[in-house]
Amino acid sequence: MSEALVAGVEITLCALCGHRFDPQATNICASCPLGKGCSLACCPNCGYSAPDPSRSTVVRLAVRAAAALARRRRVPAVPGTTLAQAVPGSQVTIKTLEHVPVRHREQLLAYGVAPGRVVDVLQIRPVTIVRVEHAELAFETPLSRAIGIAAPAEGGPR
Amino acid sequence: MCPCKGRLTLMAVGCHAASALSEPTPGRSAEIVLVGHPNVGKSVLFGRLTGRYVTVANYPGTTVDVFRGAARAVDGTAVIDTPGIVSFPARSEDERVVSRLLLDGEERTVVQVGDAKGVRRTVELTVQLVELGLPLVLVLNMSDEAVAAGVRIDRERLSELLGISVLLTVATSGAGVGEIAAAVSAALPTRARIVYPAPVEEALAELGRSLGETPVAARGAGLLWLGGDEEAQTFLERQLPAELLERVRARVEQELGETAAAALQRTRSAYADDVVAEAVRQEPGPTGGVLERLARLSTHHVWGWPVLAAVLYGVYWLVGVFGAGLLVGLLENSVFGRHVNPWLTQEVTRAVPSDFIVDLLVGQYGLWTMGMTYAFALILPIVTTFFLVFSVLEDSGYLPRLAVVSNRLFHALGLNGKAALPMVLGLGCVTMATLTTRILESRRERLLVTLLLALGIPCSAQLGVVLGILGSISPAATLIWAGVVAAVVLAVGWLAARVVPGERSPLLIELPPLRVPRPANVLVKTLMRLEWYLREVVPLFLAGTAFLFVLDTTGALPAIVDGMSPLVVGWLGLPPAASAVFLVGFLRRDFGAAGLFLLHAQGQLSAEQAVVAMVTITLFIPCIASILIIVRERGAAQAAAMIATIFPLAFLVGGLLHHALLAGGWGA
Repeated sequence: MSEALVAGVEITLCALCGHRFDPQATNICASCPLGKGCSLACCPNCGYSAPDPSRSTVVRLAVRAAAALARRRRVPAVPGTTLAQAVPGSQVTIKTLEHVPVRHREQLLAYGVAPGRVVDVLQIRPVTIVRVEHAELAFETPLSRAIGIAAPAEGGPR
Repeated sequence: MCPCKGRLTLMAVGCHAASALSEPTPGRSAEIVLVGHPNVGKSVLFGRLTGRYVTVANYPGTTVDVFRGAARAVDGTAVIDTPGIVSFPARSEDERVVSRLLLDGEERTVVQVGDAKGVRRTVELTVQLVELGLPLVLVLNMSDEAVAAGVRIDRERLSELLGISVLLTVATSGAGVGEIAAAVSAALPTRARIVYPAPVEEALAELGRSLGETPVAARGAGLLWLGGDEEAQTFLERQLPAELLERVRARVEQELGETAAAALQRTRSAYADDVVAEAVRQEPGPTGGVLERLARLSTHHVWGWPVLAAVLYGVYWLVGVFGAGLLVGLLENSVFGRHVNPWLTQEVTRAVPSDFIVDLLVGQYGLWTMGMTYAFALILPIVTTFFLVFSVLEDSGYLPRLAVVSNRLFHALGLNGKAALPMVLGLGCVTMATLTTRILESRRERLLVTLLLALGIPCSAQLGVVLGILGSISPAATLIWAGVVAAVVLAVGWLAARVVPGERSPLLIELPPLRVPRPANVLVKTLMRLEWYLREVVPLFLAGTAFLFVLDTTGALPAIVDGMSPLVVGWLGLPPAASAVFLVGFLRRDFGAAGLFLLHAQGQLSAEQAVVAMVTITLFIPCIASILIIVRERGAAQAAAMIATIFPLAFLVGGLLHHALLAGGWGA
């Protein structure tokens, strides 16, 4: 059975007969002796049963975990390339720190990671390590994802 | 670049723009304050200037408090060593110490210590210090490394541009350090200034008119405040109404269209770029040496772990096998067991007529046979090897790299890899490590790490005893102990991270270069730590022994042992004698661990009992000193909550482990 959202109601399409129904609204389960705690949705038209994701604890937990993962991966949108995408061993020019939280932006600036400056990218995983003015600085991926870089050819002061 | 031309103007004393100001005369300040970025050699320089040694190491955050000493070359002048500060505004507790010190109004000369390889960022901090109007000298340290890296500094030009004395030093060898005293004596209160955007300048002028007499330049204090420094905020609020400050800041930021801090930072950064362009030249330097390659491996997402495993195995072999096994065996069995103790017991028995005194000195709970033997035969060899290994690790610069490798692990505990530093230092001494939590950025992080330190990080002496006992049983015993303690620490940390409100901050840390440790520094540091350790341990061991002796003599000990029997014998499955061990374990857990070591050596503990006892005592709060430090750093309420949680948890986990091991057939 496939699902679609129609006017805020989850509509399930029966894979057997093609009937569209709202699994929450159907009262077919009320008469079923195994209905309590059941994670299947039965088509009120043909009786075909298929797993109902909205009733499955496993699916619910998986969806929640995926959403949490997506939230974690959601970083400030930096147009163009970010430091997290740089190749270890390359030199890149910092373009913007606009999306870095203020507190960390000040620290990065104090270390010399500033727009227009060229840094050596030493490592990307497990954390980003760059060398700027003979100092090595390590910071987490969410920060490097928020640092915009220019193409190497654009250059800048070292 | 003429300092008085262009977008940025630095008007130093002697410059025509500043000549209208009354000329200050050089004078000797009562104190010299060493200020600078973390890990640039301030503490080594402090040692050179005062002859007093403070712990120095190759990682940022070694100094978390201020240290004072008398300057050898300038009579009547004190030198103050401060924690490293990345820039103003101060972010962590240790950085705030520096702000507070500079604003407190005492007569001081500031000696800024910077890394000669990083002149640009040093100059950014110099500008902030110059603006405070205190006498200032800039010392560019590690100039040998700068030369090796191809950095060429025109010292005279730099001095001319900044309007202050600039010295090049190598603090570890003492090169250039001799010039500091003369430069300090000749240092003048700085009058230099950068011209900031108009709204900032207008705000500074308004603050200057409103402020009365200030111990530092009103302009500098105003700039610190505009930059967001909390100490400067407190400083200004003492003299100006909060509404005025709010109004000024709101107007500046509205006119700038951005935060004042951002505008200040950009202006200073541009100025520093100009200075570096004039006074510093970068020539090609060497690339890719052995240490450089090892540095890359130590933080690699795959190879970092084998490197860590090799380091841990090295520590285990030197401390657990060599120190706790060979050296303790030699001292405890051969020297003390066969020679010193029998001879002393015989002599004391012969010379002293009182049985009470004989028992007090060389009896079962005798000051010598128990207290001193524990301290010198059991603990001393272990801590000696540990401190030696630890000093090598500290000076090599490897410890901050652990922050990178372990960052993901600490992420699960609501922390970042920076927490690895106090946790690893806790293996040396939990009390000192609790102080080091000041390098962490938020109160939440400091609280979480303090809890984990108090709960499950064994200090060196205890770790050595544990490795000594469990190593002699089987590798499985060591793994069970390590696994259970790690699981408890992780579970409590995971839970605490969800209970304690606040957000986790991402990792952002400077990694010092890997260096070959200097044997002299390693040796001095080891000896210093040994001296400190024995000074703390011996009186406590003697007090603990005397306490047990009194309990035994008055007949209270058997009653206490009986009282603890349901817990120690019934729940933990240990022999009754272990009750006395746990009793002194409340005083110092390594004292308790030493008692367990002897019980095991005397065949009173089975393999299963040894593992249970070691897990239980490892989860104790380390010692009375650490409790006092927790009270000082985190407050009495949090300390009481930790004590109320940790002791019952230790017995709970020990008992559960005992029953699990029995169920698994270990105790059969």
